[in-house]
Amino acid sequence: MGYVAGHYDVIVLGTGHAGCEAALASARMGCRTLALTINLDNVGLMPCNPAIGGPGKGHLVREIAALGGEMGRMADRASLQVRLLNTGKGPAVRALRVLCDKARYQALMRRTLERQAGLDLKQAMATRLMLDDGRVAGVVTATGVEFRAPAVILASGVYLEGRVITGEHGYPSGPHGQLSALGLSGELRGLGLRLNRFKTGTPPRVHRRSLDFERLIPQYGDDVPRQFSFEPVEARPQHVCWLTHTNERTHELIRSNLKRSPLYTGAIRGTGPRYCPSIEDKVVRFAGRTSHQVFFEPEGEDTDEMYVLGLSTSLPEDVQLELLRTLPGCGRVEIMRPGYAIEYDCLDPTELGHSLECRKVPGLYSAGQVNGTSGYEEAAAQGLVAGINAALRHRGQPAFILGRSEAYIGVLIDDLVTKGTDEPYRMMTSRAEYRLLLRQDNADLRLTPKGRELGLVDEERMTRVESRRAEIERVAEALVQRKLSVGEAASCPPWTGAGALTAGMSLADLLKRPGVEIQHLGELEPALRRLPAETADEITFRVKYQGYIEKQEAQVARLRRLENRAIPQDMDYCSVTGLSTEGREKLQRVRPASLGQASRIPGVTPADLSILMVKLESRRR
Amino acid sequence: MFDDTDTIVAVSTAPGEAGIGLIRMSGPDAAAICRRVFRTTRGRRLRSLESHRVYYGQVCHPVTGEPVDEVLVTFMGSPRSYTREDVVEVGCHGGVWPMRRVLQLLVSAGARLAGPGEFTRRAFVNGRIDLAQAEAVCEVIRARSEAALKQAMQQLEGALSRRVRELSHDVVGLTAAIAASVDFPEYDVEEISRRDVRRGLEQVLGEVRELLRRAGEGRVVREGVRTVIAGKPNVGKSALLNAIVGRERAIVTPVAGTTRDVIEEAVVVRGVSLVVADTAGIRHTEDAVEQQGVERAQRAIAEADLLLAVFDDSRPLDQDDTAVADLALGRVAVAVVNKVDLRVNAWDESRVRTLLGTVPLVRVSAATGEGLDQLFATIHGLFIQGELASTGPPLVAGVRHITCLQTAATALEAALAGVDGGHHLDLVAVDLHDAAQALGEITGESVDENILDRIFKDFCIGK
Repeated sequence: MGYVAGHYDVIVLGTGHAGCEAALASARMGCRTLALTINLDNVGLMPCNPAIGGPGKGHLVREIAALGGEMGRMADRASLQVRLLNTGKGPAVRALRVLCDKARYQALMRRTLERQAGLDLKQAMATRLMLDDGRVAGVVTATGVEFRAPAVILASGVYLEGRVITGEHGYPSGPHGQLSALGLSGELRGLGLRLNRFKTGTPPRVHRRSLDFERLIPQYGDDVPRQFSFEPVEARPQHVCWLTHTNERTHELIRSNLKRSPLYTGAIRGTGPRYCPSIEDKVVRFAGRTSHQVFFEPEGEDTDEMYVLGLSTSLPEDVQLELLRTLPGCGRVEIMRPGYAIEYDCLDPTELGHSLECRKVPGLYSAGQVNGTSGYEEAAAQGLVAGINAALRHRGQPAFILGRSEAYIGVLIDDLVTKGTDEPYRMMTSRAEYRLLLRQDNADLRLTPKGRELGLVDEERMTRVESRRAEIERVAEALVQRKLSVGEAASCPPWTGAGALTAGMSLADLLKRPGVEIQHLGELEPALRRLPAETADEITFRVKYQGYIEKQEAQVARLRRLENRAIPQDMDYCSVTGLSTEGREKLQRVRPASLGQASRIPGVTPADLSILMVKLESRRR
Repeated sequence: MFDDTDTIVAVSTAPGEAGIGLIRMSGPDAAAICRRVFRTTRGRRLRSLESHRVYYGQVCHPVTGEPVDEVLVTFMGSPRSYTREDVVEVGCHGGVWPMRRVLQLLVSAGARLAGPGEFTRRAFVNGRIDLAQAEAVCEVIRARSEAALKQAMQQLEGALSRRVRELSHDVVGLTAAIAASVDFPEYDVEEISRRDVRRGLEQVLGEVRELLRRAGEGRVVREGVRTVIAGKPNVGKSALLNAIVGRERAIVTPVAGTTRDVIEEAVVVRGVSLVVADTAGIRHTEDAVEQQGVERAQRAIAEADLLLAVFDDSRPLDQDDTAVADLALGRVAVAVVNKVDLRVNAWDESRVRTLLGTVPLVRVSAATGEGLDQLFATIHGLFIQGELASTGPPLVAGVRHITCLQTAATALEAALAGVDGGHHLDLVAVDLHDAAQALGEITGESVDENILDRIFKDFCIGK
């Protein structure tokens, strides 16, 4: 009992999507890093949906890749099907979704961790935190082994006191039959941290050969697949997904079995996400709908297991099978794993600062689903930031914090630490008020210089980003300078749309017309045809949406003035007279870093902010 | 509101506290903004303002040139001013309504309405007020904001808040519909069409413009319900005014109206703030001067949010009473039968009841105060319990609300231009969001949470 097995700079608890990014970032920034996992065979596990990306989420993955993180690279190398979503919508909301071979993703990720210099990967369950004078000093495992480090990153996902429920059966477990992490919740509470209990769920998995493909609708990937990461990846074969629909029989079956659903019997009390309702929720809440989509997606190339998107449920297993069999093409379907709901403890993220360090426990960082988020991408983004900040702390450098106008990652973390969350938090483009500036196309332009500064991006990639930036600026300027000749204006090709052309009109003006794309301009200026797709997109966006961009940039400038007014962390809100009761309580709890953050806390009034400004001024004097 | 680099403006004397109202403006553009609306007695613009000098002239509408009020303008250059910034003080002479118009013009000319206690805060931040006073400054901010909040609540009880809430609901719905199809493209969310967005936008924009138009006519801009007392001569209109004002202690001193024969008083009745005007008696007359007074009274009645039609219980009903009853018909009004203390009861109540239709009738004595509680309860009921929905539009809005409505209108126009310009709906949504935010500022609702709620309520999304 009590033997010290190693000294590290940073220890990461968990090797899910948050833990992997955290461990890699920390090690790459020169910290001696230890990653602990309950099960070494489950590094980078995707226990739910096999896809990575989508609107908001795909933006996060691009940003992770731009900063030098790993998720995008792994997804590109494990892809089964790639689709660019929202192609018919504005460029700011286009988003990549990559269906992954889960086993391949895991193998690639585990190999990446194993090969990383300065990173030790070990199987052990941490059950206790060691503290020294209120600061983190290390962890103790279930078998009594001590690992010492001045920084610990909690990335325990949905494992804390996890409990799985299917129908009438409930038992302590992590997702997919993993062990749940016992003991740590108590430790956190003992440190005075507030915990929530959340719930999420997953659909059943079925056997490929039990599906009747004649009666399912095939869904293909893109002809020219794009990728998340910024370096060339070998092309991979594209696989097919399959679509079917629920019908009245399905819904009737669900309704008659509601009394057996743990969500309705009260066996589950955790708060579930509104955006991921189970099929029983959908049938109850949208009673008017006679049909819902259901997709079958392959879980991997080396398995016949298929994920059933749209059918998340915790109904009893017999009902799951019966309702699956009401779907067209599923008359003989066989379940390989039943769907289930899982309840778990998570940290109230308002306990954290923007660096993801706990204010009450110096050296303790927290990232991923344990902070009340949902999804692999949100977890990875936080893991990267926590890993970077633990490393910066070790170096004695100031924390790395992205603003809301700089990255979706900034929006994610600011929302979490400022507003908290009362359901598992999912990223969406509608959460990012400056989303026109935060496109997946320009993630590298926005963030790679920062990744380079942190030491996570090599020089070669940095050079490529800078030359891309230069090319975009050069071509955008050339479009303004290049005017139509008399002959070109007279020829007036059909793609120029309504309105006559005049000589002296610039190509930029032409590009601003609805329907005109940069490829069209290639007729007049052939060099434009040779631009890489993403560069062409970026130029088109800057020209076409100049007015919108300028408006958002002006809003950002206004925001920045408030963000720059820092509030000291030792501010005693109890001694500030005049604050409203609710405002005082919220400020005390969140401890905003700036007036800008304070202004976003629900319950803090404009008058409270005014009073804070006066208080700040009197401290300054 | 926490931008310390812009120019703020506010009325710095309480409404009606004095015959002269003072508007104060502070910030780098104070002088320039003032010059945009100020004309000398010769109708000229000033090239520059000299510090600590008083100018006499008029505030005029910058576009139409129409004079709004006679004013004295004083410029105090930084740092020799209350806030240590450039300060302009505009002394208005014309009473409550012209003062509001002046304030509105200064806002349109580039000033921002000051937040509660913001002048004091700037004075403090700029070192004009000493550190020991800091706590006091906080108290001022708190007190002012509570007063402002109370007032806002009063105003928002009425029809305006309902209208704005409905508009805000529509805008949030459109935003949520666009957001749902953008954020959940892999689910079978039905996509909202450009035509539906356009139709929704046009409707909301039309209503916002309508609210603004009425505000522009001075019908909406005020801190109280514009109430007019009308009736034939000697029914006791002035006595009723005095009784209303005298009973409720929240009196503000009389404000001379722009016309000699309309006297206004501001008073709060059961939480409804009223600005009550007494008018010349209404009767058929050949006398030219008296006829003028009658016409003015009729104009005041036409512009009123609430009409108190007064009848005399001690005299039989005549043609003039019928004319007054006609004025009340079909609008927000209370029929007040006065002098009930005389117990003459010469008055044919049932006949008037048929004349008045649904207008409520209250019997009072302005002399003894009998029945006044009933009158107040009736007024309270009209404005607080929201019986106004069916009877029409006495909306009550402050300058802050108008600023928000203007912001919303600008954003909605931009959104509409985006739709017509063939821009993607998710870009249009950026302007829609700004519009929702501006409307939300009036009702105090959190827009972002509302949008998320609507996405999940209206659309079936899930793995």
